[in-house]
Amino acid sequence: MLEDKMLLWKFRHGSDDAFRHIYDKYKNDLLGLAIALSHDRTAAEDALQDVFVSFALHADKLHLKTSLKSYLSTCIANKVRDIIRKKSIQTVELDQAGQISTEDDQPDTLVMSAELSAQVEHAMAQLPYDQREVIFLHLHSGMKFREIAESQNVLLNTVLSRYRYGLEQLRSQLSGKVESWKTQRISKD
Amino acid sequence: MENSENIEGLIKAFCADKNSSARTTEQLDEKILNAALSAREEYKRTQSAQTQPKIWRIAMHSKLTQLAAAAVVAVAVIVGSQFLGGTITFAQVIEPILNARTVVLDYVIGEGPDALEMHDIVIGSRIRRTMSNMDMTKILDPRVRSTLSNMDMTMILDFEDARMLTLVSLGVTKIASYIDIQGTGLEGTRSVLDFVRNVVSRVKDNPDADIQDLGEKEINGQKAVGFYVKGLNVDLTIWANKKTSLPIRIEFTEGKTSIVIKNIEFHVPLEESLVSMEVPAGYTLKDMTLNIIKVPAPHNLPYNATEEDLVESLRIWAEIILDGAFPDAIGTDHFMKQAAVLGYKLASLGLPDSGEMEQFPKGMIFLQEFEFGGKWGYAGKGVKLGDADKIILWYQPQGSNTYRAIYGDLKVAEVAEEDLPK
Repeated sequence: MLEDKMLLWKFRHGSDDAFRHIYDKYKNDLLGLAIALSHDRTAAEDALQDVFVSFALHADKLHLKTSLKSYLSTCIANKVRDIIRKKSIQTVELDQAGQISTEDDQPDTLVMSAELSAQVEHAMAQLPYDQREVIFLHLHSGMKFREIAESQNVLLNTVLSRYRYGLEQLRSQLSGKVESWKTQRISKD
Repeated sequence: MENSENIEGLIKAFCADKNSSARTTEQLDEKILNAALSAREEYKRTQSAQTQPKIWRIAMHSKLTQLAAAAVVAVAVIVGSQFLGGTITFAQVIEPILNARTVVLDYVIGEGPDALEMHDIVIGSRIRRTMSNMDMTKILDPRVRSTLSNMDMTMILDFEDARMLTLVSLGVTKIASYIDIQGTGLEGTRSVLDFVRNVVSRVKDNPDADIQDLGEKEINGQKAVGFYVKGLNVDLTIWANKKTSLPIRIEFTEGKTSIVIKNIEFHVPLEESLVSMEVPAGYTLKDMTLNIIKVPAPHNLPYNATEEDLVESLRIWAEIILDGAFPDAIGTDHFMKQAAVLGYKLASLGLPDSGEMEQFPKGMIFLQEFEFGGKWGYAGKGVKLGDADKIILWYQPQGSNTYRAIYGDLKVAEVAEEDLPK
């Protein structure tokens, strides 16, 4: 965390290299989060650009209450929310969601099968955005519930409820899939 | 039905899976970086040049000044705790030291033109203390340097009530705060004169005391007579006005740090209001607590600095103050002089009240356990943070045959004397 603060300090004092360092450090995580939230790579790339441009502009006035990663993750979530609202992007169908991957994909690097991944993605896509956002910010970006509540300006209980309802819905949709996933992992090991 | 833990595990695996496939392309990187840095450039062009002074307004309301004040408290820990120690002339010389109720003095910690200076007005059990010559060389912006040089900081220490009142003013901004110095602060904090009193009273009561007459010399236009007093850990030189027998200059070295008390005046008529613990008109009282002196409520115990505190302070020093390099030299005076620089940098980072502010002097307090009289050394000059092969600091704990050595990557290990840097 301190390294980030130093990088931020250096950027504020004119170091473009510090900005590049921050960008390189978080770009893929943030892009992954944006894709997970939007199910749209183009929208995700737009969100990534908007967030870093905004970050570059407002770095001087930024008072980090959490880690830089949490801050940027929240910005991504907010930006994706805006993009979804503007473009009226709704949840995507399973066949479309399954295409959100890049040429870098290597099957042997994946933890779960393409089929299971698509099923999880489909289940996630059925969740209301608020619930999906909390789940991804917590499980993907590692943010604490309190951080999410503060960044979204909602009550902690609201965040916990969204998370709990989201998980319950996923549990009902993915009944039996966890065992299948565990079996995959064991056989892979 | 899956339990929550399993579902969370599955979603985490899904996230990791998706993350491994989410990679930006070179074209996207270039596009985003160009857009962001160009926007930044344009933004900077349109901004006024008034942003830096704001940092000091933030700092004024932060613990920066209290940190410096705490450092002042802590520095006094060095004196008075280590020392275990005539002619009629010597008795005359030390009489006012022992008995004067009002004293005015300056004392200088360290050597050279940038040595830290403090100015004390002592009235009974209270001291009004101001500081000067804070190191601002690391603050490159001349406007900020100029702003800082206009900042006044006064501390009033009340040893009976174990409290300190800090008064900080910069232009129209005036902040006051009380700091509890009970515990370590009170135990260690004494006026530098109390330290001298301690030394001379022990010498006075010791028939075998080693006191040498240094003869005469002129100091600031006054004919002075000198005495060299040998103590257990500290050797003291006292120069007194030949006519009045009143001490005018006292010099001693503790460990590697030299301290000079000068411009001493005894029995000066002074207004009691100079050491009033009331907040003066025009000041805003700001609540401030410092856990370097005391573990916060409900424990309220004196804080005992540890080796980990020193390591953490070294990390802060290298990482924040010196951008990845260790300082050329280390010691209480260096710690104190870097306090303002640290405050400035943290304020710049938007973290005026971060934990680093309070952590930094904790290392200094631990260092003081062996800095004055203990066996230790420092070789951090030129070493970069992360250099695992170089020992930057070592000290011998009490009762130990080996040394504790801190390396450039801040790991700590037991090291034999022959393996220490020469």
